[in-house]
Amino acid sequence: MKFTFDRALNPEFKAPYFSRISAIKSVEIVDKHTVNFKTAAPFPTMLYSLGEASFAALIVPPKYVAENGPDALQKKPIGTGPYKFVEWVKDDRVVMDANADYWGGAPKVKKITWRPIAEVRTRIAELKSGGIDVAGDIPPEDVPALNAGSTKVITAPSDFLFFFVFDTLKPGPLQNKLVRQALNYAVDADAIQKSILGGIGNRIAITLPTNAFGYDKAWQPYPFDPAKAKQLLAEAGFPDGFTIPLVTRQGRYLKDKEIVEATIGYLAKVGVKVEPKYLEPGVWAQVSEKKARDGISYPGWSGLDPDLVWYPILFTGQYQSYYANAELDALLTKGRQTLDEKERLDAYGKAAAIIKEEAPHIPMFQPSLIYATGSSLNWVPRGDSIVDLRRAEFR
Amino acid sequence: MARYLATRAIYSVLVIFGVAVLVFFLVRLGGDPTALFLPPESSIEEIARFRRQMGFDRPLLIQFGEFVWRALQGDFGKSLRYGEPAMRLVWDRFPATLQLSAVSLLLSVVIAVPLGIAAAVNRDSLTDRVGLFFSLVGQSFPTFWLGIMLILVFSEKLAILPPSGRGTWQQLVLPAVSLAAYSTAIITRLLRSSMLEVMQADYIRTARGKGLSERVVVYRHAVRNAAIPTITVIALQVGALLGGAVITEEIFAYPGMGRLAIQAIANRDFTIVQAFVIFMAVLIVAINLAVDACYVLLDPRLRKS
Repeated sequence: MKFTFDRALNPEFKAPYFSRISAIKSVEIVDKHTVNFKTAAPFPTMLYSLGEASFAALIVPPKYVAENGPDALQKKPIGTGPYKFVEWVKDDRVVMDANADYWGGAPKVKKITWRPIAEVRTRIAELKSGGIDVAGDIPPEDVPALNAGSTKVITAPSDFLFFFVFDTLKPGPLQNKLVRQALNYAVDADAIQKSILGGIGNRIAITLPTNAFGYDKAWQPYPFDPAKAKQLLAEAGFPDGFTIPLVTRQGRYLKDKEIVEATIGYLAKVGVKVEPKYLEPGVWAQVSEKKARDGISYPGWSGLDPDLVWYPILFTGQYQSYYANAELDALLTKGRQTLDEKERLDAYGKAAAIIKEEAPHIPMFQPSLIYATGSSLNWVPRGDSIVDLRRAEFR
Repeated sequence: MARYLATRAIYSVLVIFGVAVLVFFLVRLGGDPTALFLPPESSIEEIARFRRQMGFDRPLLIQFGEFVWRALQGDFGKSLRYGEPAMRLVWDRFPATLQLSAVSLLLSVVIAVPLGIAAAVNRDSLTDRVGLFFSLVGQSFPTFWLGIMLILVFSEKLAILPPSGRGTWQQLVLPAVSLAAYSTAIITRLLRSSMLEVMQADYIRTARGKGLSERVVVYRHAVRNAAIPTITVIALQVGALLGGAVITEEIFAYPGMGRLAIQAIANRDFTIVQAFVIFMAVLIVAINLAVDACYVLLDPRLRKS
């Protein structure tokens, strides 16, 4: 444990997930089965970052690294997991054998072959012809056909969020709360979910996964009410609407272009003309760095705790935040500085009320991960998109 | 002749340099790769630090100069994702792509040559019509569409051929057929029209006049002459097949160079994209040079000029 974290926390090591654990200052060995994590400040979301089999918490063997050099793990990884690495043929397959001595009990599925098959039709054909047992990233429109015969579909709510962000920091109509509320009333998210996502996924009332810490099932999204939207726009001084840019990527998230286009259609009906710009992923990142996502954007985010979602995208001055509100800042700070669950729930409940009223986003969906499998596989997928087959079995 | 070939060789070097310039700057138009290597919640300082470590913050011209200097010494940099030399990764995948392209070329030639000859000899017959129909189909269907249709029919419905991967001959059938379709169509059409032209020629009439059998007329006199433009096109198809393999490999999850390149583009793995494009450029330029050299051998007029 200590070796793993000392290694990952060393900035020279360039751990890609450094940001998720950078709050940890040191790891000390207490006895054979206990380690003590010291953090710079209270770190209530630490267990989300270090959850079972999360990237930041994959344990590496000090002796192996010492004997074979730091690059050995890349070519022949050894850890504490349920499967042993057998071979990696780049772009073709990774093969693993069950680890009979796994501390959590030997897995029932004895051998796994991972194959990258980028083309979705090919993936489905492999599954149908019995070449593979599990296929990920199934488009919603294929779900009914795959839920028949020798295949079935398994879904799991992801940790992911689809939502629109308003830039409230630059002068313009989006600085007016009534306008932001109006745009929320204008979009029929339920209809979009039904027609584009095939009804799959959860509608979210606020930008937070429904299974996240502090999500209250009683929260309600803005209802679809175009008349109310027009009335609010008139009240805000835009009876004839306005024109606004929108930035997004294409093909980054499930049905992103379709969802964005449908939303633009709804906004047009209340007089708001949206001019979309589709950016390449690298360009999107550069625009984001300059804090230049003007107008409306469709960024996507994930996290199972308000501190992982609201702090980076709503706290004043955070580089991904396009909103500023001292009252909300105080609540978000309170939520991240205590480990007391009741206090945190209280702070985030109040924060949610402000977010709902202030409407800095149009919350849309928590999409589902959609897998198709052979009908004899018994398996429950995880929401973080790690394919965990420890407890999977064939009937 | 030596001067002719020397001129071609100098052009070839210029072409490859031009390709290097294009790929270097085009691949950077899509933004820098930093964001794709870090999780979305990374702080602005972490992004800046990573960029500095990777050297992406330096002026593009300096990066380009360094790239050219190293490439001249055979060093195309390390893959950002795999941490291994980019050109070696491309080279490792080359046999797979070569195998796919070679089988496709063989398939094209084996189908197209008899079909083209038969169509021309029996002009306007049923064979001709059928040949023309298939070559029209082969030319107009996009490879990705044809590939997916083949998968639907032979893997999903009939379940007689595997839709993806590499290792067995069965896995080679569908990608090779879908890749070969276009080349087969081109070669068939070209050979047919060359044959038709040759069959009108005076020497064919003379040959017939001599009382030679139709068989001898067609195979000894017509095919040999019609073969010259066809062989050129076949040689050029080698480049087209290697290039066409990019899409085919992606559809059939076939682990060749093309798939590596597509993944690298998606991951903004600049070094691999650069290595791949330059590798392809050198290969295709070399094929063209070889074709030029063949012209010289075949056509005495070029030897004199």
